[in-house]
Amino acid sequence: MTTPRRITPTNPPSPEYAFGYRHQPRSGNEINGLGEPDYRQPEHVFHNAGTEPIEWQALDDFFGNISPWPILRHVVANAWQLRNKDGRTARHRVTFDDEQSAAAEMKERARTLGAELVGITHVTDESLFAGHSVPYTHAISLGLSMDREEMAHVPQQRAAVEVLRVYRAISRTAIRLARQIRSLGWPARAYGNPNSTDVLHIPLAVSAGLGQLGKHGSVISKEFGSNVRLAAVLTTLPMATDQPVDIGVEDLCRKCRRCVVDCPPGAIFDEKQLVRGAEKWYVDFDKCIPYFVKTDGCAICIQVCPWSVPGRGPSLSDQLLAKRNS
Amino acid sequence: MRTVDTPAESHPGWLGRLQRDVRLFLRLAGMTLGYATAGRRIRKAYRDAQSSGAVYWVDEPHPADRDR
Repeated sequence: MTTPRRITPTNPPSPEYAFGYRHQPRSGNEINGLGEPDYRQPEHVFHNAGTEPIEWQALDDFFGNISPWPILRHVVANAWQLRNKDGRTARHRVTFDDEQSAAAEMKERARTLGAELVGITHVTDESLFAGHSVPYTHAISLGLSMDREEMAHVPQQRAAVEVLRVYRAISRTAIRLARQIRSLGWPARAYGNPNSTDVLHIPLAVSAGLGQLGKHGSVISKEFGSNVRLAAVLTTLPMATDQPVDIGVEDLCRKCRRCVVDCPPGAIFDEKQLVRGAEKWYVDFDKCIPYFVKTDGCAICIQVCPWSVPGRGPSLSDQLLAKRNS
Repeated sequence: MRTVDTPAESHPGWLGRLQRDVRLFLRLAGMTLGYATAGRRIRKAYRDAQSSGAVYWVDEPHPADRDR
């Protein structure tokens, strides 16, 4: 079978819902800080770990209950494997010549364990949910691409199963990498997805140079566009950090309207929004999430993104940067 | 959907990990059982709402679960 080059969802379900809230919760956009001029850490709205109450918990629970079993099966299996996310650290500590060699070795190990994208950054407040703290200084952000042929079936169950399969796979990589780091005498913990209690994976990935934030609110990597899923390992192992990258996403997203046009509930803003003190691309939570629930996780926006076409990213980046500099 | 991640904490010993694993197993088993029982009723009620043009209220318990 051939890999689809460009995905155009045919007849996606309408944004009309046979479910709703009798008592509408506080707007997710308000919780996310849309329009707020001052910086603050983000709060959980949807998809948390069940360890603290969240405003949209009823819809989250409903989503879990109407999700098909092939999806839930991956969620349960992923949660079970993540019981090994942390553990005892070896007493004998291995040291590295310098932070560069530590970073190089961890990246090599991550790739050997299956990660396709790897970057290292410091853990900062921006990558932690409000009220959460972690005893780690560095984060290794990990990315793994999804099967484009499976994802061509957005927004249907087949694509959703692929999303959960990749989450499970990249979580496994994070678990194994964290275990290896602990065996070297350094505390480390794996953070898998789709839910993690403490960290926000997208800010970590952007800061670690895996890609840039796209108009659709997801990371766009040079190699795979948005067709990736993320996990991370947090550790105290001192490593040289990467810098955020400029691959031309801003140049593309300012002009491209593909995700805006193809989003059935019209949740994607065409312009950057002020969110918790910063201008950034933002997706209207209150419009996006009901459709996400109705369609087993949607993902139309990340699949119609021109950058997600296999093999196109590197040349697209080169073209955009050349045009900017000409 | 709810999952079962936990906040970062001090690294437990083998007994602590065993206890944590048992708690996790019970929670996942409960989640799966809930999906098969209450979830089945919710899926049916949602399907009925879809076919009849009604609305399933996610913040109201299913009638069968209301008195529990």
